[in-house]
Amino acid sequence: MDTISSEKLGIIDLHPDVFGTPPRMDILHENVVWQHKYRYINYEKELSKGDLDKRRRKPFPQKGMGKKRAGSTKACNWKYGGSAHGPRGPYSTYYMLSKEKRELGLRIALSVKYAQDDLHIVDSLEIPSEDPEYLQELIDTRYWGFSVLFVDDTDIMPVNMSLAASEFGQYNLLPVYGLNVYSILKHQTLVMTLAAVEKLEQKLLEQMHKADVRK
Amino acid sequence: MSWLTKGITYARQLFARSSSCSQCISMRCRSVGPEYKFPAPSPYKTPGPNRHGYKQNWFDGGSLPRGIPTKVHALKPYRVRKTWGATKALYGRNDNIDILGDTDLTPRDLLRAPAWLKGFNGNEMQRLIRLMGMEGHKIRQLYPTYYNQNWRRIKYLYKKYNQHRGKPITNVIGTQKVY
Repeated sequence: MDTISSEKLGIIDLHPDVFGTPPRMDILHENVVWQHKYRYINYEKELSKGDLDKRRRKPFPQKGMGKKRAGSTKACNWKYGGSAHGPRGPYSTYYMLSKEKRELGLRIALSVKYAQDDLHIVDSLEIPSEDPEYLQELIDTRYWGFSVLFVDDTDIMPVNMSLAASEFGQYNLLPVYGLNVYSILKHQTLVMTLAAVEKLEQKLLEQMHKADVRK
Repeated sequence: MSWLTKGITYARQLFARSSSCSQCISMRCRSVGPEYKFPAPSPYKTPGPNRHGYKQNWFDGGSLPRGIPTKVHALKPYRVRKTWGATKALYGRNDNIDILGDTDLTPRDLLRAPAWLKGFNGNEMQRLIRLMGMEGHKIRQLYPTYYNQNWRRIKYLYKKYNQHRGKPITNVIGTQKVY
């Protein structure tokens, strides 16, 4: 990415299993839902009858008051009483999707991006200037869209790119190990380096053809 | 003959009540109709007069005051959602680190949650037992009432989940129930 406008440097072959899988919306949906749910903690709690800090005494005698009979003021039907079936303490909705489904979701998301012309492959993420306007101009001339996800094979990114992209919230940098279905779908375009593509293909195909019982 | 006159007046009142016409003017059954702000257009009818005595409030508080610096209770001000803020832009990062990474890390190791809920999903009793096992010594010192309440809750839940459950066996050869 040395110049603002793109230059064709060559042609590479993309593996059809990684970038050419038939689309499956249900797998993508499962992945996105899992990503939300497995880390979510619900901190709601309603106090039950036993948690209330109130007197346990019978408030008035059984008969003769003209009131409804009551054994304690902590009952659910009383005002300021406990709740029987409310949310009980912090709870988690943790579960793990199988590795098969997760890597299939990644493959489908990548194929979708490629099929819709939102995938671009680049030699490296080095740009000549750290000016954020240079990056904006580059993205505008190449018609890369509103939000771009730059993927490199390592987590140490070039200085200029990091400084320029930090000014924008919609241009984000990720290493290959950080890829996930939600981020791929959230960003309009996906820009990957050659090294990242090779590493990603190797990892996904390895997982796909793994003969492991506990995948 | 007073009983006769009284009887006649009473009968007249009964007759007036049964007829339920708005023109009866007797003291006993004064009819009051509700005053609707917007009368219903024909052919829709409004309910007839009755003795409920509903009176609509024409004054609903008046218009809001002007030129006063106090806060007016209204809808909350609109806040723009930061979809590309620091946390939301790269939401979901490292969720496939066990597939795409080079180390032994799993997404379960990267969760941020209370210690007894990290990568754990269970019902209330299981959660409470785990909490007391991991943090019970701390809770006993700092929150003794909560400590006691938790153990009582665990006991209650154990009985609720495990006792007085299961279908009673019927239609067995012989009358003795064999478990």
